[in-house]
Amino acid sequence: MAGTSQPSLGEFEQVVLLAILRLDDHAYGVTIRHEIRACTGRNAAPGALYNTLDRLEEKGMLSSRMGEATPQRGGRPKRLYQVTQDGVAAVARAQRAYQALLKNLTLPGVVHA
Amino acid sequence: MRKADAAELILSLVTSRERAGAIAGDLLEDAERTGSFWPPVARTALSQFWRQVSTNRSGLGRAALWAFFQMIGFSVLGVILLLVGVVVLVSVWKVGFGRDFPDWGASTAITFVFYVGVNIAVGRRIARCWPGRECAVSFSLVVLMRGIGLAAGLVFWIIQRHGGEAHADFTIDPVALISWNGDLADTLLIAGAGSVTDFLTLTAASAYERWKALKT
Repeated sequence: MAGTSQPSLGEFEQVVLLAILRLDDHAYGVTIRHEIRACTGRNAAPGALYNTLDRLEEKGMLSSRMGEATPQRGGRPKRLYQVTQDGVAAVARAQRAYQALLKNLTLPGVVHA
Repeated sequence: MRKADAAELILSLVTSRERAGAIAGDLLEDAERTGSFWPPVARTALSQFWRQVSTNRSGLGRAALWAFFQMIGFSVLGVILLLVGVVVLVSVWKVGFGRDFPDWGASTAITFVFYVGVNIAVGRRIARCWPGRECAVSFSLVVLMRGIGLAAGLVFWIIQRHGGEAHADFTIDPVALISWNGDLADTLLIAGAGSVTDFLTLTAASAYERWKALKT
């Protein structure tokens, strides 16, 4: 396959993008961490999550807007994230790559679905 | 100050004001479930700080150079103000009390102007020119200053190791550019202590500017 200039995704970046896609319009720091924990059992550190969100936004894979403030949040507004078309395309590429690598591969000791 | 305000202030030194507010709100909301607020704030701030330092080295290098020349400028201004002030103070003291101005008074004034005043002035300038990157720029400035001093110190240590003699003290307080008394461990200790105090003073001054901005 010829070289491509399309940006690649790290493993955690994929997890974050997928969590945001699952959350639709309700994706912000708290809900993204909860979704990741619910789906993967992984307790993502807030620092790692916010760095990843910043990095994905710089890569053009995420867009953000300010949401409503609540007393629970000390009057601070939420920063709501959405995956852009570039982000969706990047996730799809990564998933195709995984599936190509897993094709006809039997992992020892693993029961495949 | 409420804890959300304090958290937002800390975070605004390592990220934009908007992001700092949103992250502080997230951590406050999450703390209702986990019962832990300040450790996540500290870890998030450290994480954001490190990301700024590690991903924009050339930009921070330029900022550090700018801040370094600001520091030299304020130091020169400090010398002028101190000379005028000391002359006036000593004269008034002599006339008013009929005795010499105490030595500890002069050294206190010098210490305040250079070791605190200049750092405060530069820290506030950093906050105005580099909002959201105060800690990273202050850190880069301290690294630059100590890098110059330690590089020179290393040269002098090598000269001494080969039988030569070396002694230097080129200081434009608080910018101890080159200071070498023949003892490498002493030089390293002073450089370490100076780095911590410089960074804390610069950051505290930046935090004060940031606090004023957040209040509006």
